[in-house]
Amino acid sequence: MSALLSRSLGTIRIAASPGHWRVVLRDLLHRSESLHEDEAHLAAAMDWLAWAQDVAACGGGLSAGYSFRRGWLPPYPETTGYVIPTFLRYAQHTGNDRWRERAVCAGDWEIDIQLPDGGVRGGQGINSEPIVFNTGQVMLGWCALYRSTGEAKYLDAASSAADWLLKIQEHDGSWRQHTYENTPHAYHSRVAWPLLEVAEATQQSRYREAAAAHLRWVIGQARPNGWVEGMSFRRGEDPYTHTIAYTYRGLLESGLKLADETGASAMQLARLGADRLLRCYEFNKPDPHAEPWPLPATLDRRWQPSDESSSCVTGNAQIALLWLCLANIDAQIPTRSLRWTNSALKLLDQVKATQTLRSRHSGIRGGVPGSNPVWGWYLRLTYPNWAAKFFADALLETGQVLCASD
Amino acid sequence: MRIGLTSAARVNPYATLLIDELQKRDLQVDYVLSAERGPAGDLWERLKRRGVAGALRAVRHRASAEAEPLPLAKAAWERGLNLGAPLADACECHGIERSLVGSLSSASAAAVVRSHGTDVLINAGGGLFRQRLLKAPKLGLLNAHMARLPDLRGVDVLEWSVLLGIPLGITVHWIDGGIDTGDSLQFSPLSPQAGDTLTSLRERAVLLSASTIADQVLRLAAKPDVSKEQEGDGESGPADQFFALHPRLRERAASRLAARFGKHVD
Repeated sequence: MSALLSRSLGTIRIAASPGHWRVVLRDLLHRSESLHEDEAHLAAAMDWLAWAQDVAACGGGLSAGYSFRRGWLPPYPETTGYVIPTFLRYAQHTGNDRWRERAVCAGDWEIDIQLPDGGVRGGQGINSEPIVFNTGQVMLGWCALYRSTGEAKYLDAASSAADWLLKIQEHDGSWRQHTYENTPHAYHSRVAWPLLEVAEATQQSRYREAAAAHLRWVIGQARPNGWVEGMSFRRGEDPYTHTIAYTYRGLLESGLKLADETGASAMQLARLGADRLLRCYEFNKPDPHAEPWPLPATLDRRWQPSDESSSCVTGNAQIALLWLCLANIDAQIPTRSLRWTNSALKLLDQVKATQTLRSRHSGIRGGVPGSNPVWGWYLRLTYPNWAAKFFADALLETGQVLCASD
Repeated sequence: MRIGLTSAARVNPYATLLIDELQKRDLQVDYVLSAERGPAGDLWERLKRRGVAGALRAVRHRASAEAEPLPLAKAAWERGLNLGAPLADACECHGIERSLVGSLSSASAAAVVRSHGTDVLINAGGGLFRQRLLKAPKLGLLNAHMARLPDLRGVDVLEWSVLLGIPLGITVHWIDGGIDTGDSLQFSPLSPQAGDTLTSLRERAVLLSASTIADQVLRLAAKPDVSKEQEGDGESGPADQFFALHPRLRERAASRLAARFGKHVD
């Protein structure tokens, strides 16, 4: 009965807002938002993130996003954590300390709600069960704050979280307990990355060894074509581009930090995966000179589209960011660097085309939808904060890459 | 030497130029294998490729083109060629047979090539080709690629060359199953001139493509086996493929060209 009531309320909420209708109609008619300079899109995404923090009104956590059905969602510890480096980078970009203060608020809130054993609470809102992936993402925020402020409390929080991760790590390097659906995931490569950041900051080799063990496990899941098994949320399902991008970014950043054979293999696998994604994108178009179609929401292990009915915009922003990171790494080899940049710019244009800059609706203006069309399977009718975060990161990275190649 | 040309457009300045260049070397084109559409089909293709906004931009760009005649127009005037006329007119004028096919990938297209006893088929348009067409001519299907191979495979490679500072030029090569991976015959350097823009440079490249490919056909007529495997095609596989250039990088390429050779920017 209450489910029916909640569904009815959700439907009424969707229908009641002209802002919702505008987005649905736009996607129904295959129209795009106008493209502007990067700075305009970046400022809009950052303002949306700031509003997501203010509207959560919990002392620093960011609302998970805006849902057409449920309105502004509860604060989300995981993504609040990885928005921190975005706030810090934007503070540096604009020279405006307001963004640094927001990052500090978010980091302090994360410390306030950290579980006594060191883990980070899973899901949206304040839950009692810690989750491995979420813990890693918040550690990225704490490490960034420690580097930026020098305050020991952030490193202490990150170290305590890292200790918890080490405590529950399996002998084969994977994590099975306290994971989504209690299965090991290849996208936990994004947990190895913050472990390496803590290892760097604390000079403790045990974190490095744990990260390396996990990377070896992920590399062991790879197929010769660069595909990594276990990239999806659920076993047996094809992964969204969102979790595919998580996996390769984790491998890339970890590979950069780990100067040994495992690190080199992780980098090599990240490059191979990124290149396969680039081919998936660039070959999917009516003729060689045309603009590619947006990436499909999910891919299968042959790198073939398995859900072409929608595109995962969040994943697209992450993949553009992955290519831009590689462009930065390859800055000394322009043939490689500009090839990554070229595809990233095209993919980012398609993300820009989903961002409304002129809506009066605070949940929509500047936000980035989970899917295109907005009713696609990935976070249907929702503007998640992590889509705006990765989009902002990619725009910031674009500026740096284009500057370096000048 | 029995020579055929492929074409996929009703108006095909490059094919018209090729016919002229080959004739200058006393080489007669036997036939044009054409998968052309009518004017409406051409317009539809353009819209599909560029979208409505892109097509309008191209028209505006053409209307605001430099007062200075572009290299193609200049060459056409000097040689008395009408490059804006349908290819059918050039064929009629030179007594070249025109074989219309629905698609260059079709079995009937390959049958036409075989029935003419073709030695060399020249790519003057048609996109990607199927194996059955590639195998139909005795020597193969020749292509002029607007960059140095194997450095730059793919599309927009002239603009990529400018952007990356790779020597400009045309590579004549055989088309195999891959993207610009076939054995090459010749690389001809292309020298930009003062005031060149990406548009004028591309037109200069079209002129050089036609003359280089004609030279190579003449060479093949005398000595059929002169091609060589592309360097770097060994164990490491072919070099990366390059894709259509994003407008921001195209703009950057135009600025680099302007900085080196003149003030005009596309």
